[in-house]
This record gives sequence, C-alpha cells and structure tokens, in this order.
Amino acid sequence: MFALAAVIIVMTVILGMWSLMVSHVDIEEASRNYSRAMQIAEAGANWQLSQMSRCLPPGNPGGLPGYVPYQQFRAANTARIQGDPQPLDWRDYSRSSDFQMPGLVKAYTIQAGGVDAWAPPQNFIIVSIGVDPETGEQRLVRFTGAATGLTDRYVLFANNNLIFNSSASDPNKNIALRSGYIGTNRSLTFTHQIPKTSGAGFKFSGCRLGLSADTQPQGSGGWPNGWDVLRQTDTVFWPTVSEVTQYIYQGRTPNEVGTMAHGNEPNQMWYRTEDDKGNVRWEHFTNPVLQLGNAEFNKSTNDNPKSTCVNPKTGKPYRVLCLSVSKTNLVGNLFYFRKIDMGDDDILVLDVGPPPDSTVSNGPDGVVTLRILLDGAFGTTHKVTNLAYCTYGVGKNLGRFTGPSIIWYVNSVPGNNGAIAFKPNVDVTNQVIATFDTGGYLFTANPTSATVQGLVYGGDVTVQSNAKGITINQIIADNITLDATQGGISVVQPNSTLRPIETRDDPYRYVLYYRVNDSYVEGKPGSYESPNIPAPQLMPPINYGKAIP
Amino acid sequence: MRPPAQTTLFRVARLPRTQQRGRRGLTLIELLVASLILAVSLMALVATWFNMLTATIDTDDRGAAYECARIVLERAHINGFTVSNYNVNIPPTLSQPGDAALSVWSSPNIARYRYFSADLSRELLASNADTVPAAPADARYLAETQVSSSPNAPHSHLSLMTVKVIVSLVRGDGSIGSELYQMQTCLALGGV
Repeated sequence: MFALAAVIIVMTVILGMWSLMVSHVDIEEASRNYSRAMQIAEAGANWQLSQMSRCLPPGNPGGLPGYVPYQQFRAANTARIQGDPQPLDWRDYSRSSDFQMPGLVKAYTIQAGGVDAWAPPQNFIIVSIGVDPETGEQRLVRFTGAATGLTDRYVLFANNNLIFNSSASDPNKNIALRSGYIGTNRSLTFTHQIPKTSGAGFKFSGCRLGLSADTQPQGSGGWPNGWDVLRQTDTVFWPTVSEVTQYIYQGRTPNEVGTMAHGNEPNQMWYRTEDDKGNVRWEHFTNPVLQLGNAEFNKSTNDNPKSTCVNPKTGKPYRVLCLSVSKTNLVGNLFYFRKIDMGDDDILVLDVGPPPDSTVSNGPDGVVTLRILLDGAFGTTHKVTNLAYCTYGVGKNLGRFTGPSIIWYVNSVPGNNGAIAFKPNVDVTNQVIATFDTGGYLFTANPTSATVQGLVYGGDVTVQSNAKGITINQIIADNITLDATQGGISVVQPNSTLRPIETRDDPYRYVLYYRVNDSYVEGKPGSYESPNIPAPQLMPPINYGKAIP
Repeated sequence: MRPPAQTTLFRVARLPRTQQRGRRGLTLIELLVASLILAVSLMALVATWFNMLTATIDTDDRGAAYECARIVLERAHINGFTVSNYNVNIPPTLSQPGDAALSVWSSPNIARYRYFSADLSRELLASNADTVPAAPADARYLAETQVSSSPNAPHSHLSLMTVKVIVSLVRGDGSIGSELYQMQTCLALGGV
C-alpha cells in the first residue's frame, strides 16, 4: 500500500510537472507563432510601402524606369482589398529565385481619411495581415503614413560641396543655422568662423553626412563643438531636376515642359509702370516670356521724377516684374525660363497668393506653390539680385504674407551644372517698392532684408549677402556656397505646419518615398481593418490630379 | 546481573506469540514488486525530468534563436537601403577600417555569419566569408544572413530589401547543429 501510495503521489507530481512544462512549451510556441505572423504582416506592410513609393502620380502614363503607373497600382491594390491573403509576389523584387517568404499576406492601402481611394501624394493608411505558415495564426498591423518630399529632410544639403564663407573676425558676418538639419554627401567646408548654431531663436538640429563625406579642415578639433553630427550608412539620394519634372509632368523633360502648352501663362507675368503723374499700373505680358533679362525688365517704366520706387543705393528707379499664381493654372504654376539675368535695380516680385476675387466677401484664401524652372544652356549662371514678397496682409490675404511656397528648380547635368547666384543689391530694410490694389484688397511687397524664400533645388547655388544680411529657407543642390563676408546669412526652415513649401495634397509634389509615422496598431484581423468603410467606397474612380493638355 | 528494565519498545518486541502470529509481514516477492514499481516510477520521474529539461533547453534555445534573429534583422534594418550589389551569396561589407575617410559609425550591420554566446550578450564573431567560419569558444548560436534587393527600382534607395536570417545551434564541440529558427522579411525605406 505504501508503495502504491508513493507511486500515485510521484505520478501525480510527474503529471503536474509535465502539464506545467507542456503549458510552458505551448506558450512559447504560441508566442513565436504570434511573432512570426506579426513579422510577416510587417514584411507585407513594407512590401506595400515599396509598391507605393514606386507608384507614379495619377495621369502619368509611365515609362519611367522602375515606376508603375497609378492605374496599375490601383488595380492591384483593389484586388488585394477584395482578395484573400496570398504569398507575396517577389518576381520584381528579388534577384534570387529561391527567396520566398513563407506565409501569406494581405496588404493594401487606403486614404488617410478612410473614405476614398488613395492616390499619390496623399497621406495614407496601410493595412497588412500576416498568416503564419505553420499554424495559420493571423495578425494584423495598421499604420498611417505620409509622403516625404524634397523639403522634408534638410534645410541645406549638398551632393558635393557645402561651403560656408565668413568674415575672419566680424561675428556679425557669419552664417547662422537657426533650424533644421544640414548635410552633404561629400564635403563640408568652413572658412574662418564656424557657423553659429546656438542662442535665442536657434533650434539647429544637426549635421548629417553621407557615407563618404567629411568636413574641412580636418584635424583641428574634429566636428564643431556642440554639433550633433552623424554619418549616414549610405549616400543620401536626390533626384535630378529632369527626373523631378518627368515624375511631376508626365514624363516630360525640362525642355519639354518649357515648350508644352499653357506654360508661362502671360497673364500671370506682370510689369510695373508709373507715369509722370505718379499713377502706378500693373500690366501683364501678352505673349509667353521664356527669359527674364534686360529686355523684359525694360517693360517696367517709371516716368515719375518724384517716384519713391527708387533704389536709394543707385538713385535709379526700380524695374519691377511680378510672377503671380493662379489656382486654375494647368501646370501647377510653373514658370520656365531659359535665362534669368537681373540688374542691380531690378526686382522680381513673387506672389504666391491668387488674385483677389471681388465677388467673394473676403477674397480667396490659401497659398499656391509657385515653381520656377531654370533651364537653358548647361553651365549658365542665372543671376538673381532682388526678390520681393508680400509682407503685409489682412484677413485671408495673410496667406500671401506667411507662405514661402516657392521652388526654384535649377536643371543641370553632372559635370556641367546649371547655376544660380543670389546677390541682392537692395539693402534698404522695409522699403515698400510695390503696392498692388486689385479688387479692393491691398497688399504690399517689399524686399525687407533680402530673403530667398522657399526651396532652391539643383545645380550650383551661390548666395552672397550684403551689408543688411540675407535670409534663406532651404537649398538642396550639387554645390552650395554661402558667402557671408559682406553680411550675415540666416538659414531658417519654414514652419512645416503653418508655412509648408508644398502642401501634402499638392498634386505636383515630388515624392522621394512614403514613410510610416507613429500611428500604429496591431491585433487580429477584423479589429482594425477598414473601420466604417463600406467596401464599394474603397476604390472609387480617379478624381485626383489634372490632365495636362 | 539483573535484566534491564522493560521499556515500552522492549515490551513491543516481546509480544505474545499469538499476537506476533496474527500480523503478517512483507514477503520478499512483495518487496521486490514494490521496489520494482518504485524503481519504474523513479525511472519515469527521471526520464520525465530529463525530457522536461531537454524540452526546456530546446524551448529556451528556440526562444533565444528568435531573439537572435531579431537582433540580426534589426541591425540589417538600420543599415540603410541603398547599398548596391546586394546579393544572396555575397553580402556587402560596409566598413573599411583602414579608410580614414569613413567614420567609426560605419559598422558592418550586415555580415553573413555571426556567432553569439548562449545569453546573446556577446557577439563572438562576424564574418563575410564564403563558408561558415569555425565556431569560437562559448558560441551557442550561429546566425546566417542572406540579403537580396530589387534590381528594378527607380533608384537604389527605393529598392525593396529582402532579408533572411537562419539561426542554428552550435554544439559543444563547435559543430553546427540543427536549424532553430528562420525569419524572413522585407525592408523598405521609411517602413517598419
């Protein structure tokens, strides 16, 4: 009896321990299966993200290497929404024929609002369901994301050389990096002073170097004190201006964009005249203008001997041209110039607000991005002296005042870059040089201390300050030289929320890639899948973007 | 010499014959059977304990292999997405220790073979050799990484990277044992 009792007790203990161990193993196994399903779901989401980054905007017929037309993406996306999980299609993605992801995936994209089809470059939601190949365990991941554009990463970035020149001794004649990141793929050079990055109003984020980049001079203390400097694991990629235009303008090169219909709308190009009695008029060109030089600025006449629109530095009247935007412009308010050659008394007004509409009580609101594409002979240096913007606005016209939505594209080819030089001559602060009074809405433009608003992209960019100093927003180019030996240069990134250079739903926005953000949930299928969205509404007909005649 | 005083025990030992005859003792057979049952159950106990130990070690190994694969995968994740010439058979070397132009931050985030200690606290060896290098002492896990990228992307930064990590057990004698865990994923710039 004793032996029997002992055996029973021992066997009970064994059974309990065995049960415990089996439970432990089961839990571990379930955990791994869960993780594997999650892993597959995340892989599917990345796969979908890659598909999106290779998707052209609606209306672009394709033909660009590596990209797929939106129609093709949309059809495949719709099929995945309506279909069951299946193996990922690796045929276009892997050099290895035996590289197969085990398990099944159902991954698709919907618009961020969840009520319409997604199309570039809108914000989005990706839903991905992963199925474990061994147990069939399913897990879902769902996250939101947005496009990364040309202006989202750096205030200054040079593919080759980023050069800061400053006075040898005058602390006011230096570069002030007040916000954002700077970087280079090759060389960052300082002469004399290290740029200022701290103090009141400074929020400099740091410097990011491409894999093979360095700073000059080396060996004298290494990186600037207090700078956050990291080297990327690879070269930072930037598309050429030609690639940008082909992406935005349906496969057209810069030259083709310049010759297409509706380019350089003459009714959006103005010149200022002032008669001998002081009456100011703004008239628009009657034919498309493809360069801005002496002949074009000569259209701006000033016969008033008592005019205040005079450059106090030279004593000569200003010659003033204006480029304005229109919400109905068919090519995203793109101006194409083969050459810009401005004189010391010339002012180019860039007005990013649409003309006021007298039939609307408070006029049109918002800001439209104004784009300037500089083409012409490679190696040409476009000379820009004085720029002016609206610096006063009321009501909805405040958009004109706060919106730096301007992009300069400088076309170039490797080894023979197009170039642009910004060298303001006007050094009078807050001199009102142009007043527009149209439709009962008053707004004023003046140079203030000279500013290069928005983004300058591509080519070789030189900014030379004057005694009053100069402010720039963002420059991404092959070579950048900031010369502050005559006056300070401040680099200030526009507030991306209040004053974006490109809005997130701008159909003419170039997308570098799509990225996920922090909004991320996971769970079982059905829990977070297409909430409150009737299936038929997921993929309606395309209603986004404009066809270019 | 007087006999010792009778204790209780002594009295019990000297029970009347009639009472001793009425209580039957254990036979040798019974003892053998009981011993046999006890031995079998003890053997079962030991076997079960051994199996439990083996299963626990195996479970721990598989759990560690999963963590190991995640470690390797995360390192591949931070590697970036534009390095060209990725190939399943020839993973790239991102660092060139002798090149002063490259900073110390450039580390070989993708290596074909990596050996790890049992607690994963130490990476004992990283190698891009064509064949599996000899296991260093104390190595418990071997992680093999295979990488491929899409050849058709518009630009290299838009390539979809596919990464496979295979974790195997390293035996005490340094030989490579069974495959414990295999993890595959694809990575995209801006992805998770």
